[in-house]
Amino acid sequence: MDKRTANAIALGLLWASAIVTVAVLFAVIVYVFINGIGQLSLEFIFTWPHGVNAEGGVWPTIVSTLYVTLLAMLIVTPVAILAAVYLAEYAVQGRLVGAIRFAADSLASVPSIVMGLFGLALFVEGMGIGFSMLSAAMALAFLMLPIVMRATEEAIRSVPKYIRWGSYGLGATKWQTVRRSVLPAAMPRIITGIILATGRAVGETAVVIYTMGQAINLPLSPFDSGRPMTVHLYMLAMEGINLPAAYGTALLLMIMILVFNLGARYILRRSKRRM
Amino acid sequence: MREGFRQELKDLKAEVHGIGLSVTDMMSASVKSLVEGDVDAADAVIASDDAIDRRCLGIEEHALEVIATQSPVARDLRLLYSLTYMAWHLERMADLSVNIAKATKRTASRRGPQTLYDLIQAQGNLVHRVLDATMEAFEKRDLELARKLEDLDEPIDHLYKQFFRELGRLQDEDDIEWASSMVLASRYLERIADNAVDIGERIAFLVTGEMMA
Amino acid sequence: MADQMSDKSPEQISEGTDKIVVKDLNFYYGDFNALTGINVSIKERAVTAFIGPSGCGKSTFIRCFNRMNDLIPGARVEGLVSMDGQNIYAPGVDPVDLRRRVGMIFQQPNPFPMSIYDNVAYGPRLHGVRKKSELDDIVRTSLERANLWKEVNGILDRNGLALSGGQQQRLCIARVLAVEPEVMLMDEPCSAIDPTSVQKIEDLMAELKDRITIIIVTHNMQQAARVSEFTAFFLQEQAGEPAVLVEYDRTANIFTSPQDRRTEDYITGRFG
Repeated sequence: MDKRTANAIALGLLWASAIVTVAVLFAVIVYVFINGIGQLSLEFIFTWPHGVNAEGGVWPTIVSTLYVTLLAMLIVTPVAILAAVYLAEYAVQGRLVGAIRFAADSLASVPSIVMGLFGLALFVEGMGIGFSMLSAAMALAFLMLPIVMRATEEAIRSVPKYIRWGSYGLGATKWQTVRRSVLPAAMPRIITGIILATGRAVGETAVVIYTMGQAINLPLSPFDSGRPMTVHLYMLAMEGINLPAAYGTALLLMIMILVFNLGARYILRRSKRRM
Repeated sequence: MREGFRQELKDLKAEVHGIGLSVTDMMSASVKSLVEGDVDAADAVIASDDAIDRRCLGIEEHALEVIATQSPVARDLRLLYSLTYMAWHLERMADLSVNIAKATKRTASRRGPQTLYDLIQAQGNLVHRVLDATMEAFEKRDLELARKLEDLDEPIDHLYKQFFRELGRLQDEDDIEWASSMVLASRYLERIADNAVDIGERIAFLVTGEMMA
Repeated sequence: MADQMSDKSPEQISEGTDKIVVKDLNFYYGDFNALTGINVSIKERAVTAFIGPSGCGKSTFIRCFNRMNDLIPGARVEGLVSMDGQNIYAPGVDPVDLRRRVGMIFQQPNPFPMSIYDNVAYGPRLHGVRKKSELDDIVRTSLERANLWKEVNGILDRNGLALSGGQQQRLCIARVLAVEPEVMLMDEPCSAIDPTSVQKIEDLMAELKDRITIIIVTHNMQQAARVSEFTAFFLQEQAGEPAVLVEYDRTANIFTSPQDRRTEDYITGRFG
């Protein structure tokens, strides 16, 4: 086989792989879109389910999903950022930091159903919070923590040393430098990390099914239980009670995640242009 | 832009102009001392030479520093180069004035024929005119005037030649030392004017950037 | 080598007042002795230039004056560095306070990714200025002193990074001026910007030196010659050996008749 043939074959394989990847994504989107678009209406979005919770709209599940996601975000952001600041700026780089980083990476690879069971044991039962937004948010926060932390750490590390020097050169302490110049400079990438982690949380099923409960409920307090969209979708589909509504919910979910990801891309690109 | 550098050039230029005026005064004073046989005035001229030497040396040093540190180009470079050149010539002119003053000291003890004094005074007046024109051409960057210096110099050469002819008519009893001192003084004046003409060429170079033959 | 050393020892420059005096300074990165036996006195309200080939330790040295080297693990200073007679490495001295008095400009313009206003107000805010009117005044005065006000007046809320490289560098100078430093260290401030902007920054230095002591590290000998009153030439003669201060004198002397053969070879382009 001469060089040119080898080249052509390699190129062909690369092309094929790329096409398969795009095609799979495209197929999923189109499939869900075609099956779900018929369901989508303002009524579907803004009304409650009725009957055996299979008919009608999905409004309480949207609220539950957004509620728990927002709450998880509020919990995870300060913890993750502080941990990342410590790792990137303060900790003496060495075995301990390596160990912490390894732990975070391991945490990220824990199957979410295990995290759900852990949340059930610790928050729902152990701490007696019960099935609630708070329990679910804390369990989700565990899931998001390594993502946000690693993104933040990378963001902090990528802040040019000149920025720090500029701040120190003006007589700033380390904390002033971190708070007033390093974090603002790293913020776009931190926000991107948070949004990506949030997208993951929105689509999460296993964790919330064990911590939030399944009751159709419009949550007000963090101690209320509810049913997130993913769980609703699971019910509708698994019990085969209303497949069209399941596709409608799935489509809504996909749109929400898409919006999150586009938002992250937008923030990153805008900040890159500014940098 | 580059305020400090511009100011330094201005200061240097003003200083060279100032030296030029002082040298003109020195020349006039030396001629006056010669004509009047005034030894004190001659001593004053001789004493003033040190200051001129110092100032000219200062110009050279300063110009050198500016060239070394400010990397001047084009007309800035031409100016610095010309200033150094002028300082050197002005110093020579001051030295020639001193020589005239020394002639005063050698000749003051006796009076020669009035015609010769008149001739020296006339020559001195002409040299004064050349020096004034030189400094004016320098200050105003006046190319026309700078080029006219050669013409202004011509009558001075004529007077120098006439001086020789007058000497030929002297009677035997006239002191030979007195006479030769007077000839030398006339020669010094002629040299001073030549230096001024050289400066004029340098002024033309300053303005046009072209070296004249 | 000793016989080649200039007999004009650095302390012998008699004109002017000493702002910073360095005696027998040795600098180490871990085990590596980067600078040795440095003696120099920096004159108040004048521009002093540090020149020398790459790696001769001039940037390392300049950072000794605001203890920026403290941030580098393993960096160590021996000897005396005193400002206004006070040892800046004495135990009681807080490097954070010192850095307010000794500002620094870096090779890469490094505005913070925030508005022009916030960039300039950064320092004063660190040091407790809160009142809006007071901050407004400081921002305006500092930008004026940095010759940038005319260009940014009206766009103070725009991101500092949106300015051109030369403007960014002047913004950084304004930022330093806002904390009213006594000394300004400039570490190759012009090597990353265009020639027109270089001119502006050199003009600015000439204006600032009436009130501030300026020390500039530069690769550009002509720049050192143009902007400084005093010049110090540093040289590391052998890789792995510490760099030394070869000669320190009035800039005019260094560039017309240096005393040391090595200085002459360097400034005439025979090496480095």
